[in-house]
Amino acid sequence: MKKDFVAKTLAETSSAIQNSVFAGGFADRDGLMQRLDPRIRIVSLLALLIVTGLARDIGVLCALYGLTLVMAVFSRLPLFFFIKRVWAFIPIFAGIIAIPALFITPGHPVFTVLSFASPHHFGPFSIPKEIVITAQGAASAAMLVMRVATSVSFGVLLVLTTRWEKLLKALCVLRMPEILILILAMTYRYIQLFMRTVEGMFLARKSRQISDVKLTEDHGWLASRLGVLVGKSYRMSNDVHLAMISRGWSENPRLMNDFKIRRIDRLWLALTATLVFLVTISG
Amino acid sequence: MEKDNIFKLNDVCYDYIGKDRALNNINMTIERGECVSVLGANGSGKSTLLKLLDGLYFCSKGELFGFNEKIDESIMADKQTARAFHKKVGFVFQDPDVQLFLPTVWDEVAFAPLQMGLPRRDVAEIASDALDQLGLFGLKDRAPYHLSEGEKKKVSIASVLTLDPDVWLMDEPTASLDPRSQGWVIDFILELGQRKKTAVIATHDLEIPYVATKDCYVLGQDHGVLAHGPSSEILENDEILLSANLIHRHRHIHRGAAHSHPHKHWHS
Repeated sequence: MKKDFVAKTLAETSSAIQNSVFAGGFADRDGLMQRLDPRIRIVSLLALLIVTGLARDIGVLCALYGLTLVMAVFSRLPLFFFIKRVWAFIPIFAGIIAIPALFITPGHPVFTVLSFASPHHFGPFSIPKEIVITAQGAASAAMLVMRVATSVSFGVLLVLTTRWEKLLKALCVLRMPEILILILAMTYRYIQLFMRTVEGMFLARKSRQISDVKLTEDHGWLASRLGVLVGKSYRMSNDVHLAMISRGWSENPRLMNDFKIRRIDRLWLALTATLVFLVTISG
Repeated sequence: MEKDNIFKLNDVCYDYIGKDRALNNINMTIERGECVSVLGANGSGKSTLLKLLDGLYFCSKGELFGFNEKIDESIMADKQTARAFHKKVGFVFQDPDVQLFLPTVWDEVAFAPLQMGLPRRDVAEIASDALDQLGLFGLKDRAPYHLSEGEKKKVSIASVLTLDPDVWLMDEPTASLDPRSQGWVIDFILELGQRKKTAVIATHDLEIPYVATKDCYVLGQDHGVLAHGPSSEILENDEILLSANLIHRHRHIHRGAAHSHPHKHWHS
């Protein structure tokens, strides 16, 4: 049965709420990445990301991708979940660019996809006599896909193993101003709160909806709820500001940060530096 | 002015821009060490009054003195003065989701002393003590999002406790709480009284003035002070409570005949 937009929005909202709770669970597991200081996590994964971007050999990229899988296992992430999360994005980010590269990169043909009696011309466009996949095209598409998959894997690894608030605070290491960190932290906090409000609104609507509603009525209702939500968030933002002033808020906020660099962090940093060096010299 | 006055309000009015008057000619004196209830129905201006007392809003008319100093926009514009004032006056907001704006409980309780400029090591100690005192240490790394309403209220109180203010302003502290959490909040207010702290509690929960505060002010439907006096006397005066919409006439069937009488949702 086709879901109406109320049911769809409800399902998406609930799933977003559940995902945020679920992701928090991974960050609390006792794994390799979770044991590292969040600042070290950011610096080391950033270094590995840069190396992934610079690598020119498919073998090196495959080895780096393998490393992400090993890190995921040692960080107690479910491997299938991790792979699925990464590869779900690949067709969107890489596929669209990689697929044309298969055909347009000049080189040695390895597979003929289509063959015509003669080339076709449509105004400024033309279709050649044969559409072929070239070896060089396949190699550059594979490089692109592997590079994106490995980069996304490092990113997903960082996000899944680090609580959002710690990730934000750790960004201090990249000289991000504390005011910006506070704004991002508060934004995330209130997005979660308003997701609950939205869920409540849609549940209230669903509980009173007996028959099918016209799409235009749905749109009208949605617009009115958006207005209510904007009003609600505006009022709340005023009160939150007052609550901040009441507890001594100044324009130069200070945030608590109890990060500590331990032996495991130094060891991990040394390992990452060695790996980066080896990959760089191997080209 | 009396030296022991914490707050003195002379004919204070407050108008929201483009709206009706929220407070109307309020005269009030809060003395040091006094626990006072401000009773009133929804929309009577209790929350606005607390925001004025905390120097967050400023009178449209009249004068408000805090610690014998006139509190107005120009005084509070000075950051040092405002910070010193808020160090002495703590405000527990009605809605914990307004007060708990940071990602974790630990960040919340550390926020105020950090903004007051204390070294991070001292802040950590103060925050741990506050969480320990309220039995919240186990929730240290939790996000406010994952707390129950009762826990949120306790964390809100802990976030103010870290400043150890002389004056506590609490807006509807027992609203939306289960009976156990309500009891905990009332015990906390009693403890404030024992520690000689000054407290102004805005509420329509009549159990608070009955149990925890000696004096109370009643705000009427016209947003002015309808009555002021010892809590025991005010709570006995059904006429005042009915007029302020704090109790209602309740219809019962007794021996087959309907009759009504003022009904209070608290039990003496």
